[in-house]
Amino acid sequence: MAEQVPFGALSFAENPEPRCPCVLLLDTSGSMNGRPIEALNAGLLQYRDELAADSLASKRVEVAVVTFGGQVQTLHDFSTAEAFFPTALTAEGNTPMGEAIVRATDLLSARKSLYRQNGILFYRPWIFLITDGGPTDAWQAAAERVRQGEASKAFSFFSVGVEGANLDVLKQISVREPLKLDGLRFRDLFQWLSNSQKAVSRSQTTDEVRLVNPAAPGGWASV
Amino acid sequence: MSQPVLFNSRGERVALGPEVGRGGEGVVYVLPKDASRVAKVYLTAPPAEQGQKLTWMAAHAPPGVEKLAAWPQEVLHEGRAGGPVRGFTMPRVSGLKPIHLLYSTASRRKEFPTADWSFLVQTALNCASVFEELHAVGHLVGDVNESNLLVSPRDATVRLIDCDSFQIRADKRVFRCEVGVPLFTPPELQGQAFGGLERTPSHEGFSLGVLLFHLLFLGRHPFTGVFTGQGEMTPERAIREFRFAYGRNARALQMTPPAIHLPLGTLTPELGRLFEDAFAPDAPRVGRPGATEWYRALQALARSLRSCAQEPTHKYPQHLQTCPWCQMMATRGVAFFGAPRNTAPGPQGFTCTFQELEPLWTESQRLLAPNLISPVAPPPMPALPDRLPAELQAEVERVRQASVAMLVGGVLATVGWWLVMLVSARVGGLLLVPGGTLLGSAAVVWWLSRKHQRLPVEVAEQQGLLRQAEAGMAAAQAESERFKDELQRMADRARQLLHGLRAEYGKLQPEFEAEQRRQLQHREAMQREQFLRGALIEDHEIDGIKQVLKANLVRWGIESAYDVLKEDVRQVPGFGEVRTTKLLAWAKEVEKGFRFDPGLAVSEAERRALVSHFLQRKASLRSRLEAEVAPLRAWSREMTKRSGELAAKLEEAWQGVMRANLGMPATRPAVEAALKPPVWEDRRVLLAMVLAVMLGGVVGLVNRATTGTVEQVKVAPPPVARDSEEPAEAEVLPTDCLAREEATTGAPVVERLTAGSLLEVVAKEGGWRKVVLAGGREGWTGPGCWSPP
Repeated sequence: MAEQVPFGALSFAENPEPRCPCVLLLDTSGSMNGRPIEALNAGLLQYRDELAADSLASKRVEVAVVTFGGQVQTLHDFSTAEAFFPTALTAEGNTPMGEAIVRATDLLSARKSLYRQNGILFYRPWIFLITDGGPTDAWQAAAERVRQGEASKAFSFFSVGVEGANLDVLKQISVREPLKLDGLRFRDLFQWLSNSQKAVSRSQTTDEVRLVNPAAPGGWASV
Repeated sequence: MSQPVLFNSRGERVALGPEVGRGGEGVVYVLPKDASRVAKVYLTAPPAEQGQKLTWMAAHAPPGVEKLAAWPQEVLHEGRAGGPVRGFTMPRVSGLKPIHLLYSTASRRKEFPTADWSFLVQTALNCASVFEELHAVGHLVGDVNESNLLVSPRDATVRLIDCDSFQIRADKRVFRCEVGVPLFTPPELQGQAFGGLERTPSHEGFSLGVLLFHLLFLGRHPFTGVFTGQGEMTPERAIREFRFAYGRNARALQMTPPAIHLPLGTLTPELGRLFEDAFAPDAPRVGRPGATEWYRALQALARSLRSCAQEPTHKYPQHLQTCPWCQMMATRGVAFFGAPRNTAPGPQGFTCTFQELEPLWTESQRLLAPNLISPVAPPPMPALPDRLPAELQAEVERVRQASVAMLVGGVLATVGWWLVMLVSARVGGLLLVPGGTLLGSAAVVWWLSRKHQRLPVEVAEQQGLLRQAEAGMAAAQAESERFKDELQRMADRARQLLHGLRAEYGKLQPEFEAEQRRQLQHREAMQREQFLRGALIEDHEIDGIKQVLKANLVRWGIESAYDVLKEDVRQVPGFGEVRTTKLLAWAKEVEKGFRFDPGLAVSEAERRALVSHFLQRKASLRSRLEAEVAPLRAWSREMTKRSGELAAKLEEAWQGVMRANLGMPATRPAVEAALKPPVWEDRRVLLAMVLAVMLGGVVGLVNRATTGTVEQVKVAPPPVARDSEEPAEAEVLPTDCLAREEATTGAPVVERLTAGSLLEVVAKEGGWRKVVLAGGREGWTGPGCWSPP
């Protein structure tokens, strides 16, 4: 009997480890042009290498990249570090952050149902937003989704503002306190992200992992 | 964090070397003085009970424990000998890898490249063995999880680590295991705190069953399948509700195994039964299979394994008719074992050249320069005659002559009339009305003839047409310019976009190659390390390094060529300049023998992932290019069409201009010359002259009317001799003359009069005329005064 095999079943069979999905929501609007986008690109590459170097995180952490600069684009669908090839980002256009957040939550829902179909456990997903501006579209619906997602523990939403970010709006979108990146320390930010995810991937799917506070002295952020 | 000062149980200070590992509760350090051991130091001092537990464990190591676990050897006290326990030493386990790297296929291919299913069965067997030995002395592992067991890639032997969390049965008491992970925790303990809990062998039987399941079923958890019911089925809930996804009751429990899975029936019936028992709802009551049962069943499975005739790396139990791995390949397309790089479907490589893009690119460039239709060049304007047609010319001449006649006639008539008036006002008066009427009629005739002249009318009409045609022409030209600008702008924008995409496309191949190099470099370093680690000092004859020295090296943790190159050999007793140099030379010689095998280096999955990622990017770029080019096709056609329309418009406008020009009776200079008469003929000049003359007349008339004589002249009866008292008439004195008191030449002179004075004659007597002088006086003028000179 030729049974149906759901999409992705093969890769899930070869790697049935529990997954820790993470959507990177990256602002690639025009204002990021120049040094910020370069630093972000370098940070992404380093992030990939950090994840790939960790035996458990490389099997468990799955990254997707959604960019918003002019338009919302799913640059990279979920994959483990092994198949995560960050392409160099370029910055242009406005900041449709609201749409991007909605897209990220949609991506997560789809991914989660794929996990369920394939008998794959998963940790609470992360959405990690990095921006240097404020939304240029309607963001209220997105904020509502974030609120519901956090309340139902469907995902954790982190937001990081680069110099020039509208932290007031971020505060209204994010349930967690938005963090302010110190200068262009994207490398430190991604180091922290990969460390946190390594810790999460070592924990149990039901645990609340206590993360290192990035806003502590010497950290890459301030609140 | 500064390292605490530590002492062993004999009161000796224990120095710590570099950190080799870090966990949630402690850090593991190398011991510089004893390379065969490491020290685990807690981040914060543990409770006293943990100290007692470790002390007891160190003192009561089970026989042969070194083959089972990294058992505590010596307790480390903080601050002083006999101080609070802060850590312990244990044997260093090197060369072994976490068990999760073995059981999931993707990482197994990388980390245990030669391991087949029999290797996994062997590992499971060894796990059961280790658990059995530990259980035999009354201890339990407690916190069984994917990272607490290490496996040797060489021989599938396993070691338990994190022994400090074991549940230890001491002589009189039990030291509990206070941690655990939900996925390995039995249903009856789900959600309970582990702190005050004494675990039983039955509890451990569940955890062991889950662990063995992971090994035999390639990383799958027994309780995670696809839940067909409503709501979220967390693994914790599934465990609590005994929903074993592979069991005989799975369907009733609304669970099915994932699409690609090894059925429970693949195992020997005995093993299948053990799994059913371990995960059954009545297991908490009746107890679960112990490690010994697992060991025996796994031993039977290991013995019953045979190789597949098609693919020798496929191992399966004898009781099966067909090879389950081959079947899985056939029905599911997944090759869990075997040489995947030879059989793997999918793209083998990635190339990306502009050649593949060429037809599309050429087309796009052609489309960006649409075929524009230009207007047909207008024929040269036919020459107009230099002269007006004869009849028009005659008419012009006629009107011109009439004008001259009118002018001259008018001036002459006026001047003549005035002369008549001077001579005789009466005759002038008589002539005024008929003359004026005549002159007026002539003027009307002249004016009408001018008005009805055909040339100016015709010219004005044609000029109107011409202006209209020229405006149309200008509009058409402006529209054409706008069109060209717009086309240029759109083409530039599209060109820029296409060039951007093309540039991105061009970057794919170098990027792919760079990424491949990176992968290889990483693997190269790993292979090199493995190769060097395989070169054991023990196995080699090294010039000048005797057996004793080799033992020294091992004690310092320097066992292979890799360690020689990485560690500082000089710290080892007996190694000075000479021996160190010799040892290094040996290691470098060994390294020269390293040959990188790129085929082995990058796993097929990794390679495939990279290739398919770039193929995807290539395809997406191509489709983006196509998406840009497709609308250009219609655009290009549209541009051609519009240019045609514009060309037609321009041609039409040009023809209009031509028609309007051809409507002129003669060339522009000729027409202008005909229409614009010489200055003297100019209507304004003419008018001014007539006006001047008329004005003169009017002024004269008015002057006369005010003196009151004109009317008298007109109405006065013919002059007769009158009484001197009677007022006579005013007359102009023709010559200079003297006025006297009496009408005789002898009378005294009253006043000297000049010629041209207008004098009122009040009386006449014998040729003498009495005139009124200035101041009202009167005087007589002689007859000589009144005869014209």
